[in-house]
Amino acid sequence: MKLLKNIFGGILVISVLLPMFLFLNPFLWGMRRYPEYIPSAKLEKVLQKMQNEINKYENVEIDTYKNEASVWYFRDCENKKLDSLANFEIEISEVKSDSFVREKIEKYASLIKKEIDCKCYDSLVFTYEIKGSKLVSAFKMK
Amino acid sequence: MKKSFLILDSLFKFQSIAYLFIIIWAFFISNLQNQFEIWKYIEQINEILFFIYFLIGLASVIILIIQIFKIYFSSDSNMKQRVWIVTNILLYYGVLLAVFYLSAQFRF
Repeated sequence: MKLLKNIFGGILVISVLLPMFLFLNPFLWGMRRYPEYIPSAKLEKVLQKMQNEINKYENVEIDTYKNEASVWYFRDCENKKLDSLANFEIEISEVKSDSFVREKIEKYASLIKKEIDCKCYDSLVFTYEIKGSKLVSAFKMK
Repeated sequence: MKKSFLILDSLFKFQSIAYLFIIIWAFFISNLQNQFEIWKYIEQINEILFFIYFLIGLASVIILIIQIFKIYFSSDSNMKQRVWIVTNILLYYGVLLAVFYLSAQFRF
């Protein structure tokens, strides 16, 4: 009986010490994920639709990863702690026809505006490249 | 023989209440922090509390191990204390999770 009690005691001591390998592990504390912009499901759907439409004639990728996006940005925005609002940037990879892409951008800009939090961004900015030169198309949020 | 301070029933009670407080605090932070204007300063509060709770987590390890040795490796202990220490160990896991959660609620 006494042996059983001691064994149980030993198990309890190990169960207290074991989480410390996790708790005091410097690698674990340093491995926190870098905050990045994650678009909402609705916005992703709109962007996917836009990409599909452009990709009927072109072959482009649409990215939103460059945006100020962490939860902290929105928290600061809600608490009115921001000095200036950032732009919401949508990056389109290299395209061939300027007028075609511009037409699609104008068509989708209002739909995208609806899906992002307008209070927290100054402008909606589309960037794309044609033959090595970068073009920008911007729309004011309000 | 005089009972050691670390295995007094009142200390067990206090320990459980302290652990529960930390767990409930983390629960409130995760569910209610955007609801009130006062939580504008929650980031600073979280930062201070994180360090306090982190130290409590570390101190708990020492206290729990001493308590286990006093209860399980000596002859004068009762069933109530043995159950209580297991409960406190389970709550201690909750505290560690709460501290991990709090660490993600402020900017380093």
